[in-house]
Amino acid sequence: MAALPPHRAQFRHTAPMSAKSSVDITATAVAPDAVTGASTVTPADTSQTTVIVRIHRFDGHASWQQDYRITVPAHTSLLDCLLLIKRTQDPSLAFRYSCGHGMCGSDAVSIDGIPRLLCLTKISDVQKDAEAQANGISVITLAPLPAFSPVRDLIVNLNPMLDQIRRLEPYLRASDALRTTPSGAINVFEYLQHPDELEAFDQLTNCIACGVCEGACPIYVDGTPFVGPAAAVAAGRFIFDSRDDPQSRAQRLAALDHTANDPIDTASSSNGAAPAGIWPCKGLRFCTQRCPRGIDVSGAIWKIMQAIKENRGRVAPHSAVK
Amino acid sequence: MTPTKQDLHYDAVIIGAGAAGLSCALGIMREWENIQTSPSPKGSAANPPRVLVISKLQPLRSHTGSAEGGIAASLSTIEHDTWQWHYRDTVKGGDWLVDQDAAKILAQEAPETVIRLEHDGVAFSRTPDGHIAQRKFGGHTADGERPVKRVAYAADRIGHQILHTLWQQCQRYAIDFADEWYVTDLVLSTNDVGSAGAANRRAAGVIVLDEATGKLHSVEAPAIVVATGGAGRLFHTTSNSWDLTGDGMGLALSSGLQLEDSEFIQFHPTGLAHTGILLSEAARGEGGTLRNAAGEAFMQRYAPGVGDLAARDVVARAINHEVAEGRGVNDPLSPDSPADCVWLDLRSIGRERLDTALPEVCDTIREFAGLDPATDLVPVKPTAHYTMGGIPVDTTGSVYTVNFTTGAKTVVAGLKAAGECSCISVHGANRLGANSLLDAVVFGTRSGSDIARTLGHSAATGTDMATDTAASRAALCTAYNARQESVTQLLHQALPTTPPAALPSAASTDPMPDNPYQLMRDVGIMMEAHLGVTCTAESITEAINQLREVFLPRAEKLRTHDATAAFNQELCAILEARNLVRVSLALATATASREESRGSLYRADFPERDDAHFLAHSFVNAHGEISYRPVVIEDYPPERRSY
Repeated sequence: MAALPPHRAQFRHTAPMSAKSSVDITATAVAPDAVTGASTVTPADTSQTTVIVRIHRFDGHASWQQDYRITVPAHTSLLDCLLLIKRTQDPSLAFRYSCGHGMCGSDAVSIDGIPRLLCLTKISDVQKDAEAQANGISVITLAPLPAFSPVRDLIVNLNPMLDQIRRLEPYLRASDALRTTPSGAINVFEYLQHPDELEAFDQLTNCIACGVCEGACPIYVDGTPFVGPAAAVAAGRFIFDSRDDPQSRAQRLAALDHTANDPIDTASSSNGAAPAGIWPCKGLRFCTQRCPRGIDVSGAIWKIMQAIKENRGRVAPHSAVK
Repeated sequence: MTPTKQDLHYDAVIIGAGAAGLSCALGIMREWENIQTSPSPKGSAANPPRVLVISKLQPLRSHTGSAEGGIAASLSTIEHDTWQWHYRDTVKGGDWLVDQDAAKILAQEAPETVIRLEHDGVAFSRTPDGHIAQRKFGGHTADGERPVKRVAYAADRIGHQILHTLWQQCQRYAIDFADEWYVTDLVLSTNDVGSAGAANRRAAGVIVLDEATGKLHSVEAPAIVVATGGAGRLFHTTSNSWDLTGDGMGLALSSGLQLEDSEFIQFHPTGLAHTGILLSEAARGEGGTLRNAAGEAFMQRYAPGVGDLAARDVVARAINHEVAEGRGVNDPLSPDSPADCVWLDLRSIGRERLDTALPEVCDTIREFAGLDPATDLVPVKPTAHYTMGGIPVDTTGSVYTVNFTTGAKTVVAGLKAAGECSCISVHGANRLGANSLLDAVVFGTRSGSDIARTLGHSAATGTDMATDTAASRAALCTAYNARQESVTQLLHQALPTTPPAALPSAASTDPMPDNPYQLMRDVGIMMEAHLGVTCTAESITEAINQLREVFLPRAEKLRTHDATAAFNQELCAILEARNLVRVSLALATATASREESRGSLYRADFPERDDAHFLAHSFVNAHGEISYRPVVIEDYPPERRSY
């Protein structure tokens, strides 16, 4: 997948900055030529700031907005803000979280209308954008992730996304010929995979199933029948893996193509519209723009579409690979 | 996918959906397939085993996904290596508190385990000729002499790869998953017909709280696997997720079982300053260097030769020593805090290699410190990382208890544990990097295989695994009723939330009633102060006093602030806080009793290792009673441990 950017850092860190090492130790053991130019990172803002966190709350019956006022360093993540509120103001506030550093995918919510992870969003990232002011204090508005049903406060039901991922049989189906030796023992060697073959799908394996891409996609949010960007990435991860069996690959592509008799498009299957596979994607690229893992979701979907076209006619849809 | 019935029966219930739990589930299904296809199937149960994996989280959220550096195996894809070297390194790394029969299995089965993960889909980084790439890691050596490239990796997100791959493979099989279910009770049944008058206990089932509805369920199962991970949240500064509250260990203590070697907590040397977030050891494996305030690469003084790649406890203590000697640096994000960090210098690695080999490390540094690892020094300090101890198990994963009078071991029938919550013990007093995923997958799989064989045997002989179903059901019923009463009490005596408008000024005059989040934070700060990288009898006594006199009563008094049952996170948090306090007390008790320094445990009042008295595993129960059993030594007698 050479068209994809090499790394997500490119999405997130762009402002050129000067080096900030507070101790000059370049004379010690480091070769001068090893230090490659200036820092490319925005330094953390350690100043204290007061904000109002306005949260869409829901207890299963009633919904309301609730304001919480906090004073913290500007580099504080919104997850840490919510944990502070939970600990010192309102233990009943409900939101999912776990690792706290962007690996578990638990804490996708809408922050000032944009789907993001709480733990990877600092107050200083959003404060300047926060238009709403209350008595001169910035208001940061948190709401449940769009496209999914709220269950309580910021917790939504992500099962539609997980179901879509699961229906596309998201596991490697490597060729059996390589899996066992003639005597039936498990092959004692790994499948060889050259670094460029790994590069073709490696970025897609970074998906943490957080749902941000789905909440950012106007088509998915709208309820249009659509397999959705998350399931496309989950399937693409195998489609472009050189170890997956060619026949399996063809069937994965067919499943994403058009699924007339297969309820894979669950985004809004309740509205009676015909399933449409991957094709409702219009290349709007909000998924790519918002992905906290820097995955070029839109680019991957485009590549899958090309592969589907090349694949058509080569396989009967939905003859299961066993 | 999530079961909806209130009373459920499964052949096996696995608590936890990380590397150990999912490996166990796959182990059950695959071994069952092997039994079916073998020429003379011993047990030909017509239907596949009914397996339920319970997690308090959604799918794919388990903390396995945060493991960064790699998984160790003597694959020799880059340079010559042997499982015997891996075995010996593991024993030495654990300061000879390792059961050598178990460590031998770990090292021997490592290569096939990593190959199986690759076949299952893990996107390992590759050598130019397409083999699994391997890197150096602390304590992993060629014949004890020089660092060896033993650790298979996937950039620096091997845990994410393994977690997702195992979950994906589980989708092949008819395995039920109960997401966001919290196990409140591990229920054992007892009959008194055992030999020597000892009560024979066996697994009966679990009581769970369905977080989405707030309803309790009772799940009966003749085989239960505890695979709940560690307890990093015992300490305030930790690399662990918010969920690592020692639930499995707490469940074991509550059901009258014991914890082994619970005094051994690994502090990873390179947490990102005060965030505690892990910066993988791979950063040093790739050439990163620790430096003090003077810019000196100080590890060469503490561990000549291996330097920055000494075992983790050695590096963590070296950092603390530098700080104590006044050579620490400030965390730039907390300029008012003491200078309790040192620098991690990654600049010599170069931007290109940093981005390909350590993308997560670099992102974490950029995101959470606002620094550029290619040009800036990064502040680091030790962070609570791993519990070497846990629920005592044998090499098939079966949980046992020790009779404190006779020293005899008794297996709890049908109960297994795997992964970080268990103690086999392959890590002894200090775990080597890249051995934790290996432990979870190797012994998770072995536990699963053993369950499948037992199920097959039961089917073949027509015996039910649960020898006394009536006793199991009675025990479950009692536990269910007691828990229902407790949950009702927690919810229906809900405390008022202080009106937000009145805060924060009102907080000082009219403090909000206590809550589990504040309690867990206070426990962590206290534990870090008294039972951190270094402790003494005095600090341990203080910790025990505070746990008994302050934190246990506080934990008992907790009530929710809201009576809504559905997704009442505070309800779970109260139960987590109680587990945390319970495990803290066990840890403190075991620490007090071990009057020596070994591996991760450093007692300033007993700074030397004492093999004459303490070449032994501790066993502690919820009542603070403690006993010891000797270490299993087969090949490598204790030596002085130096790097």
